Amino acid sequence: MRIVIDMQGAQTESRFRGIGRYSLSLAKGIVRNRGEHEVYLVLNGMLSDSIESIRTAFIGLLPQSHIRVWYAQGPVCDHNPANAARKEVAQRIRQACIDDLQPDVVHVTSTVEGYIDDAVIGSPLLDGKAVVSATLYDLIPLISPKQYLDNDAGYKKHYLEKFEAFKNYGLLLSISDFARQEALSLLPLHEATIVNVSTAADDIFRPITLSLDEREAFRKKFGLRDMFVLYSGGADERKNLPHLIKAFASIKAQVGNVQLVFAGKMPEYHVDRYRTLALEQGLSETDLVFTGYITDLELASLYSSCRVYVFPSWHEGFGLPPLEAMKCGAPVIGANTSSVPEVIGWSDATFDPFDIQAIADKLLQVLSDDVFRAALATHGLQRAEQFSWDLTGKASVSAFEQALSKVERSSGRVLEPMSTQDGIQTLVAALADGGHLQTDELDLERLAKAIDYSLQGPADKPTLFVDISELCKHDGKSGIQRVVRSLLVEWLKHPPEGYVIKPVYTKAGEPFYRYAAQFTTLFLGKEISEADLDDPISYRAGDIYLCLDLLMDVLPHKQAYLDTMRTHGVSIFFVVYDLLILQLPHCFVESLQEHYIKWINAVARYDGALCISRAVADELREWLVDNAPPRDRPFRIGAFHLGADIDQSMPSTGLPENPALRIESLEAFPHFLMVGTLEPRKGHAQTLDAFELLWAEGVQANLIIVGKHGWLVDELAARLVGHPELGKRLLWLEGVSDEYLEHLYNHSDCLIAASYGEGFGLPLIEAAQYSLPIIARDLPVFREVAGEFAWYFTGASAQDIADSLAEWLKLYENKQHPQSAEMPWLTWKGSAQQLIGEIDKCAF
Amino acid sequence: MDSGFYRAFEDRYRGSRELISSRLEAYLPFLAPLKTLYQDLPVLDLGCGRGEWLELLCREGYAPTGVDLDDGMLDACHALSLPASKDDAISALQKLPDNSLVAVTGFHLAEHIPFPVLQQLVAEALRVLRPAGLLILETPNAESLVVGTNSFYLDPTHERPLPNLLLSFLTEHSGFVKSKIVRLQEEQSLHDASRQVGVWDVLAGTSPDYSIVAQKEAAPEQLAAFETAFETSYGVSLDQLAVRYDQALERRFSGLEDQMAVGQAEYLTRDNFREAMESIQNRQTEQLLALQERSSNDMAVLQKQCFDLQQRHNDVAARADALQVDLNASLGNAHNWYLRAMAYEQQLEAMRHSTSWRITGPFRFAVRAVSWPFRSGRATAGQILRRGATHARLWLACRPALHRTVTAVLNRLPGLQAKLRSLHENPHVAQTPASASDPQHGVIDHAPLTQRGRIIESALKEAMMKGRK
Repeated sequence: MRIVIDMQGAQTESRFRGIGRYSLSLAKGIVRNRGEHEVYLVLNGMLSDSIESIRTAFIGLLPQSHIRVWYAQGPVCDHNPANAARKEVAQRIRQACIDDLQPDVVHVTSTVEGYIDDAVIGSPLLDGKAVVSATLYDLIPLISPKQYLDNDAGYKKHYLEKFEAFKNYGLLLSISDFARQEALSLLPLHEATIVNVSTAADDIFRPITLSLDEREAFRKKFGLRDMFVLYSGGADERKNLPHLIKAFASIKAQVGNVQLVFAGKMPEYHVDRYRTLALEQGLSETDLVFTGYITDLELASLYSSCRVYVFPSWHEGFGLPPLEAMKCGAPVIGANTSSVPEVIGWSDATFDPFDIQAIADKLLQVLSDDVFRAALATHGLQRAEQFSWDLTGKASVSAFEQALSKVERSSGRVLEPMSTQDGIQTLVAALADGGHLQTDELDLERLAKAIDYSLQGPADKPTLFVDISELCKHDGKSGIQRVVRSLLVEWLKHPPEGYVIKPVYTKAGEPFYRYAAQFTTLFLGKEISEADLDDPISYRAGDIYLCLDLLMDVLPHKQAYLDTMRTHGVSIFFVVYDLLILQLPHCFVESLQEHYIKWINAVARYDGALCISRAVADELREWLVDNAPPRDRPFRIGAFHLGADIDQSMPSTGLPENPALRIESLEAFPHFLMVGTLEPRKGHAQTLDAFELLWAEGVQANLIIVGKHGWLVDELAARLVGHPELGKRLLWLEGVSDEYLEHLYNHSDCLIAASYGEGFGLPLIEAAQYSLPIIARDLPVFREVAGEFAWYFTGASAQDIADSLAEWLKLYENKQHPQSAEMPWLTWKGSAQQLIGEIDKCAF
Repeated sequence: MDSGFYRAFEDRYRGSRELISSRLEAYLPFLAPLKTLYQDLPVLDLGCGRGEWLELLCREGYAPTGVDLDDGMLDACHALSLPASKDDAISALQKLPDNSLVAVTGFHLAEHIPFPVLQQLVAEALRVLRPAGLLILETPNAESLVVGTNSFYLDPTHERPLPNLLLSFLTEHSGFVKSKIVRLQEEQSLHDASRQVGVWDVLAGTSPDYSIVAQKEAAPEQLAAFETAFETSYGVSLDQLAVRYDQALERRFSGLEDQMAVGQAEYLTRDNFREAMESIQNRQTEQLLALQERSSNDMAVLQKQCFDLQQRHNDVAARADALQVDLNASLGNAHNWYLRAMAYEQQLEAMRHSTSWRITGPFRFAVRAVSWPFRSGRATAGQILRRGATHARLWLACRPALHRTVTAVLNRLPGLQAKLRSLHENPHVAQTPASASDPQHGVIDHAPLTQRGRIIESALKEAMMKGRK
């Protein structure tokens, strides 16, 4: 069975109140207890502020691909008659989106939304196939129209329409038995159509014991005494607070120093009224206390420490506060009308709310009889266990199953699978028939886009969007671009099983992404005529976006688009190569740091980072501890290793002409090789210092530095060029071909990796491939890559390094130095597989 | 010297057979008139080398023989069935009787032999030749700077360069009646007068080879046949090239000087420049003054307008005050009437409670029942109330104390407050203008339609078109 839940009840302003919390908790309960069934959530794209918190709430319960968003052109609120055409179009789009998922049961969390906001719920008759179910909260506006309906004619019309629609629902889930009975009495419904699935309270409500200090602070904050009678909830007339005040006042003399506390925010008007009433009844200024707005945790503390909790409301749909109080272990007494007795579950704990004397008697009983109070508390805790969201969820699911089987038996209904294409055609036809396309109010392009994004079919193989914007623009042959190219080649030639790979790119000036079709065709060596056009990308919930290239300057401008993708259900991940610019700022040009900080802060706002080594992953985690922006969703960090098969596509050839630049011209001592562009980070200067110390001591060793002149190394370059040992025991080769580099590797005796920081450590693997022994600085990333197959040194001074080198030379003479030939490394195939594995783990 | 070395050397630097042959064709015009004078045409080629000249002569109908000392060369000639034999040049000539040959030739031979031997060779040639017979000796032209300083010495067997005047003097002195210096093998394009001559051409463009063509004495009518060949000019000499080069430069410089003169004539002198600037400045000052005057005029007009507006505003304010006074008066009046109305009401109450009224009750009921169908609706009352409500609110807003009291009263009567609010509220809440970038109004993201989106759009358009029909 496939269940689709319309979550608009948790998206409108209601999400801050009871209906919103109920909708979200009910949906979670259904998802947790779905068993073999499939659940999808559909959300209204016009209420986009609420989408992120709903997605976050279901992490771990539902994959993002099962949380769908549909879009329409607003405004569509019922309040304004000018929105009528748009509202109908939106209803059809919503229905088409739901139909496209081919559900067996559709559940609407709140049917009455849409008067002042852009929520849209069409009549259940629009849906011809599935069983349409809705949550029935209460019919209080209908029962007290003077209070709720008669002020506003527009709202009254809206509400009555919705009320009439209740008759057409195939199933109604009520929040209490009382609500069910009430509905049956007001609507011509069959008994089996309404099922009571009850309600539950939040888990934050549990008995809380405060330390002495906390108690003191708490009491001071609210001006509480040791003993107080507690009420929490709203201040509507039906809550019956004046009677409570009167009843309390009448027994005050007999119970001593007890307060009456009203918790929660109440309108000023009511507060004034009640205060005046209390004074009139003979209570002192501090006998009646209003707390104003309090957090759930403070409320739980109040419940846990009150003498008795009283709930005198004469009309409720459910009555959550007494349940919360019972969960916290408070003795609870309440009215014996509407749904309250159903919650409390013990007739001795109830009273007639219309009778002030009855209230007073019950209060007195509880305050003076300790045994009774204790019994109430115990009963409360036990009773509270009968209400949980899991129970509600299970009850809902079985109600769905029963409704579905009844329908299938009676109509012999068979669901023919309908493709999304048919769904679109049906929708277009329906819109045309309804005459909506003729009005000028509709923007056809926006409508087409809304339909394109809303009707995307049940979850399929997710797409992995690989961002290669920099590579598309220009292949700069940097290290990072080598990684991007290699991974891309691997994924295009051997696509991973669980994903469809789509390379994408973005251009300056275009705030969106396109498929890199033309680039990919050329990249694979085919003719450009075979390529499709570079269309804008089409993304669905459950897809994954992975930024392979390092796009420091691009990312800040595309954030709006990425945010939209995320709202729609795409998980956004970035590959983080290193945090060197933050850790070694003196090794980089200043302006780069600013850009990098902007970039990494933007990355931290999204869903996760895939780092190229566990060391970088740890560093990122550490950085996030202090610098992460406030977020609800967890930030996933994964790590994978790069491949190390040497890029044999076009190896360059050529030997240096000048014989002085050949390794053979050096003396026949052990050759130490350093490979890499000269920059401060690579530690050439310190190594050279160390070697000078060794040479001064007469140690036999040669140092060969291979690397172009990078940045911030003018002093070092001058030192090398003018060095007295140049040509004898020191060589600096600025640009060598791959052929000659191979020659050097084969004829050297050791590779030195002296970087102060690295993202990965490819040079170590290169050395291992030639079985060249390695001496490396003791960095976590080098340990990770080379493990026990290298010799490590630490030290800030050149002397430390010189000593370490001397030690190694001694081992080398005895052939006891660490060998590197057995060092494990990955091919690009393995690296790509590892990356896919990490993405699988990190994806929501 | 090692013949193998010389062979290889020749192969590299001498040139191909075809090249040599084509060069040698230059001499045919000199030899052609000989065919008119004699039937048989024996020619002796000294140092025949690979035999290109022999081959050419055979083709042209002469009867050549060749001598050379190099076995390798002779083998090459014999391979082509050319009449060559191994002999020294001098001894070959000495073996021949007087007046036996029409021509004696020696290509690139003269520079290989010492001068006394050359003298002897020339003398023997004169003896051996028939009247009007030709002696042709070709040798590198040291006049060319490149040849004379460098390329002559490439061949290690060359003796020394032979200036052309030396060879011509030699033949003249030996008794030849005519001697012509024929320069050869220069770049053909140098003959074109329009070709630019540069320094390199001067240094290296001179004809790299020359030959001396000498003729034995004969009757004037016999010699006349050769005039054309002898009168033609050949080759390019060093002085020709140098002069051409100088002339070209001279032309260019004079051209430039002319242009400069023209430019200078048009160029502004310093005084002219100053005059021009002054006139521009004067014009600008005039314009600025005009602008200033115009703006001060505008300013005066605006000021006057402002003053008028101010006057009118003051008038309006005065009138508003007057109205206010009237309003107060009428409200006071209203209060007056209110009090009177209260008084009347009390009277009415008293009357209502009076016995006489109560007795006439049933009678009144009957009258009302009859006239019920003719009563009008309550609609008008609502409209009047609505209009009054706005005014009342405004009036209240100006009186804060009264406003506070009224608010307090209303707060205690929420029903009344709600009713008043609904009267006062505009039923149509102003719509927020649709902003271009929020999801509430259908703008999802700023991307254009995807491929599928475009298909959907055209389907919608189609449906819309169908609906319009």
